[in-house]
Amino acid sequence: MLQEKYNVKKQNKILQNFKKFSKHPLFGIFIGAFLMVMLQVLGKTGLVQPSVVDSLANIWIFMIVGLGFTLLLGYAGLASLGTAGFIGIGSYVIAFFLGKLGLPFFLVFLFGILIALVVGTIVGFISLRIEGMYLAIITLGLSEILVEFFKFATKITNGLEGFQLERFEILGHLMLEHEIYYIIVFILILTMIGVVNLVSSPTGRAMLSIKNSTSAAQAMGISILKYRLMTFVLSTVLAVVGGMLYMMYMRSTEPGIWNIGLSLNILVAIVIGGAKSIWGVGLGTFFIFAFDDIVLKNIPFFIKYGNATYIINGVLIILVVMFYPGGIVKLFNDIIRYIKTTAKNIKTSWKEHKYGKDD
Amino acid sequence: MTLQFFLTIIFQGLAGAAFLALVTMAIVLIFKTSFTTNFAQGSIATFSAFAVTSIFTKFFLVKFPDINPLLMLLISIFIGIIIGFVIGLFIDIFIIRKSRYSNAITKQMITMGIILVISGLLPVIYGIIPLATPRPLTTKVFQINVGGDIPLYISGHSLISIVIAIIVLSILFVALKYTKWGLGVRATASNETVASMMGVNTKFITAMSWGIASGIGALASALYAPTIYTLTPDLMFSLQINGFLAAILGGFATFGGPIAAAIIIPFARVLAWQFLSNTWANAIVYVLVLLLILIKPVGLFGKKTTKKV
Repeated sequence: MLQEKYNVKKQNKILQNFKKFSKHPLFGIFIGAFLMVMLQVLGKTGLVQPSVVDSLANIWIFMIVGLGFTLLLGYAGLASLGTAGFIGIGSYVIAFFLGKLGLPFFLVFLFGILIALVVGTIVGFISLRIEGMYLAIITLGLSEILVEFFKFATKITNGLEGFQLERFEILGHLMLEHEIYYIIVFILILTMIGVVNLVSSPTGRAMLSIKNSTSAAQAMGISILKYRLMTFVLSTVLAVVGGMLYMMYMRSTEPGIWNIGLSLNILVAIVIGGAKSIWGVGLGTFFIFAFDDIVLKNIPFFIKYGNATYIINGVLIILVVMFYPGGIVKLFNDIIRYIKTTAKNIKTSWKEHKYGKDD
Repeated sequence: MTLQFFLTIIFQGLAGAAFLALVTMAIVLIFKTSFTTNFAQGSIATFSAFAVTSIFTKFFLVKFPDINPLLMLLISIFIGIIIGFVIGLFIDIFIIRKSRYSNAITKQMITMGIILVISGLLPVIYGIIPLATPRPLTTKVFQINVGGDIPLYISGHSLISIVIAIIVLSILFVALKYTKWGLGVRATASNETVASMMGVNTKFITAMSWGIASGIGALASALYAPTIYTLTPDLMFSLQINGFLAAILGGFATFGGPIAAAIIIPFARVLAWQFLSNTWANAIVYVLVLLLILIKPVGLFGKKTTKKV
């Protein structure tokens, strides 16, 4: 009898501990990581098709980029259209230094981040001079310069043909595709943890305050120089890292990929998902990049007209921006809140019915 | 430097400036009334250019093979301009007007969404790309030789485009200065709320500006497409980026400044092409323009506006 009671108590305690644990911001990330790894394991056994795993890897890569972009758009309020160009830089860094020159992997990776730091600092300084809506145009111009570079600096970038990357070695070990998948997942998890910590730190709050009012933030003693530069550098680094991972996994690059369409798709993904939450970024990228690949590409209409999926993306961003600025994440939260309030209402009305009204 | 070389530069610069000035004018017109930069400008224009070519080749050439093709082409271009005008009106009335109190970046995102919608619609409406080659107004090529090894070839189409651009821009400038609509645009540009208080129908003015801007874009694309011989979904993309940069470089404050910048940029490109490098001309011009904008963010002809908190 006593033993039973003790067992129930223990179970309750475990449940409570689990509840406490599940409220922790990193809990969801670890669940996500587990799922990502499981998908690859299932892919090895053949339960999940390899093409699906490939497009999943694609999504994780763009999620890394998207997480950087959300810092820029959701937290610093800066719309940039240069993302595709920055991802392109990453892909060409791997292609040239690892593929063509055959330098060791870690050196190349560090070098890519170094380039990202430099580019991000330059763009950040530009963003200090040029406000708000002009920034999108300027970054678009920068992206064009980068594409011109990819096209015409034939000695480095191989021109319009682009690069095909051979299998490469890390620390003397020839990398297989699924191992690179694990690297991608690892970096994605690191990024997610980093972003979650960053946005709930004083830095994140400073960024938000700058977004809401530059003058007010300045008056409170927040250095716009410091935080804007930081946001730009972080988002550029993440974009370049995304590009490097893209090149490692997809193993081919050409100037045509890094066009404005990609930048727009990343922007749409972030806005649709919800620019202020990492889950929003995940949902948005999943919707834009996976929905196209896995679902829509099987419908005859979209097979016939390849670009027609853009219509859905475009209509969605217009609708979300106009009527539902919170994005899909807010939709989920709203539904949960609605269910909770209706459940509460039903409970109280049931109690009123049973015990009479409380005057 | 010979006279021949001088003439070459002048002609090439003007040919580029004609299209760029039209595009820049359209961008500035929308900026003045809606306070946002319309990223979909190029897409709307591309849509109209596709319409012009497909109406001309699939309808007129098939149904009326006997009539003078130039006349039919002009009619097609006119229809294309009307299509652009209607799309512009539609976008303003149903989308931009509804979000008029949101901030500029939100409106920008809406126009970026419109880009995606239009580029998705292109293959659905016009069939699988590429479409037929767009037809120039005239295939005549003039040959001028004033003391050079190679004679200077001037395509009749570019010459007509330059003339049309000058006429259209002059009409617009006169309209902005002397018509009721122009006065309304200037009033809306300086302060929308006060303008509507003073009895200016700002909704009508804005809608008309969107329509006219998209119509100008359609004209520019219909004239531009034959010069590059192909119709692609990103037909107007580089023109549009140049248009934006010209508008910032000139300063959005006036109408004249951006047009001046739109004339400077093609000349800079031609000079860079001739004297510096064939392949890097575009990149050099972009870098120069960006540097200029960094040095003078309000633009070459802009005025500094103080913002109240």
